[in-house]
Amino acid sequence: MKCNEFRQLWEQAHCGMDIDASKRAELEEHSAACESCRSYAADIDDIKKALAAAGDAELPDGFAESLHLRLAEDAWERRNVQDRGAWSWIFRSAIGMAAAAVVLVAVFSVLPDRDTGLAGSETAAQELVGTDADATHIPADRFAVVKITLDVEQVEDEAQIEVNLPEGVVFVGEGGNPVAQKSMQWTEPLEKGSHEIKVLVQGTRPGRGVIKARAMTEKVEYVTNATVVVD
Amino acid sequence: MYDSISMSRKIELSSVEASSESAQCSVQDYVKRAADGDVAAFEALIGPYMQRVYAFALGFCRDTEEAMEISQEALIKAFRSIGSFRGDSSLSTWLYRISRNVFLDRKRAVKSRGRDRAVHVDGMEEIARSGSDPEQELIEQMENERVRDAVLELEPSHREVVLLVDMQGLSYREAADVLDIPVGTVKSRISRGHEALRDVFKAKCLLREK
Repeated sequence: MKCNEFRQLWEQAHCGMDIDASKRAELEEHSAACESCRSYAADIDDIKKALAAAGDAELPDGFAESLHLRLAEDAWERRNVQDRGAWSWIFRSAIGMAAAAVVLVAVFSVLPDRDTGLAGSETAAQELVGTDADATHIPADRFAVVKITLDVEQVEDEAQIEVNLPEGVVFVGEGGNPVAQKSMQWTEPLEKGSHEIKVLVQGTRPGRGVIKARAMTEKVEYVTNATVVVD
Repeated sequence: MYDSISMSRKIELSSVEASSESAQCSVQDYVKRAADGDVAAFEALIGPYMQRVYAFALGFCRDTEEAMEISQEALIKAFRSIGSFRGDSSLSTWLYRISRNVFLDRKRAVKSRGRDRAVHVDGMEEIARSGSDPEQELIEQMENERVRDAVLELEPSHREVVLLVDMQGLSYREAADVLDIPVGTVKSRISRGHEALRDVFKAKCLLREK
C-alpha cells in the first residue's frame, strides 16, 4: 500500500465508512511500517478532535428571543401584507428593550394629513369603540401588533402615556412571553400632530375588547381607543 | 405559559425524531402548522438544530454578530419556506443548505460592495458570566477561535466539507446532500482539506509535539 492510498483509506475508516477486513489489515500493516503515515494519522486525529470542539459553539445570549420576535414579525407581516413597510425596525428596536422586560413598542412619528378619529381633552371620557370591521383581529394564542393613533394639538414637553388592555389580551414581553400586567405607562415628549402607538400583544381568549391609550400632561389629556377582536 | 408550551413541543418532537410512520406524521403536522404561520410549531421543529445552524454560520464567518445574523436569516427563510420541506432530506440537512445559501448570498453582496469581512472576538463577556473555571474556559475559547481561523484559511470547497463533516458531525452522505455533490467528491475534498489543515495547524502551532 502506498502512502496516498493509506491516507485516503485512513480518512474513510475514521469517518465510519465500511472498509473490508483485508484493506483494514493493509492499513495496519502500512501504519506499522511507515512513520510518516503514523504521524499523519495522529495529526489528523488531533485536528478532527480540535475541529469537533470548535464546532460546538454556544448560542449567544438572546439568540432564541430575538429569533422568536423576528419570526413573530414575519408571521404577522405575512398575515397583514397590506401593512408591510415600517415594522421591521420596530421589532428590532423592541428586542433591545430588555430592561423594560416588556416589548411594548411605542413609536411616535408625525403623520400629517391623517384622519385618525382621536379624542381630545374635551372628549376624555368618551370611548370610541369601532365596529368589528375596524377592529384589529388577533388569532387566539398568536401575536399581533395593534396600532393606536393619537392626535396631539400642541407640543407637549412631557406627557405620561398609558396603555390599558382589555381581558383576553396580554402584552408580549421579552422572549415572546406574556406579561401579567394589563397596563403600561411611560413618559415621552410629544410633537404636535398624529402619533402611532404600536403595541405587541397576544390574544388569550376569544372575545372583543378595547385597548385604551391616554397621553396626560398637566393641562390636557388625550384619549384614544382601538377595538380588538380575539378570534 | 408560552415557554412551557414551546418546551413541551420540543420534548415531544425530539422524542419523535425517529423515522417511524407516526413520528413522520407528527413532524409533518408541525411542518403544516409552521407553514400556516405558527411560530411555536416552527420553533419546536428547529429547536434541536438552532445551535448547530449558528455554529455552522460561525464556521463560515467567525464574527459572532454576523454568524447570528446569517443563522437567524436562514431560519427565517426556512420559516417562510417550511411548506416546501417534504422530508426528502433531514431537517438539519435542509437547514444547513439554507444557511450556506444565505452565507453565499451575503458574501456576493459584500463582494459587490467591495467591503472586507470584519472579524472580531467578543467572547470575554460570556466567559465572565459563565462561572466555573474562567481561565480554562478562556483558554479553550481562544483555542477554538484559532482552530476556526485555521479553517477559514482553507479554500471554500474544502472548508465547507470540513465544517459539515468534522465540525457539525454530518456523514459524508449528509454533507453530499447539503452541498449537492457526489459522496466521492466529499471524500476527496475532506482528504485534501485535512492535508491543507495539517499544514495550517503546524504553521499556527496548533498540533501538539509527538
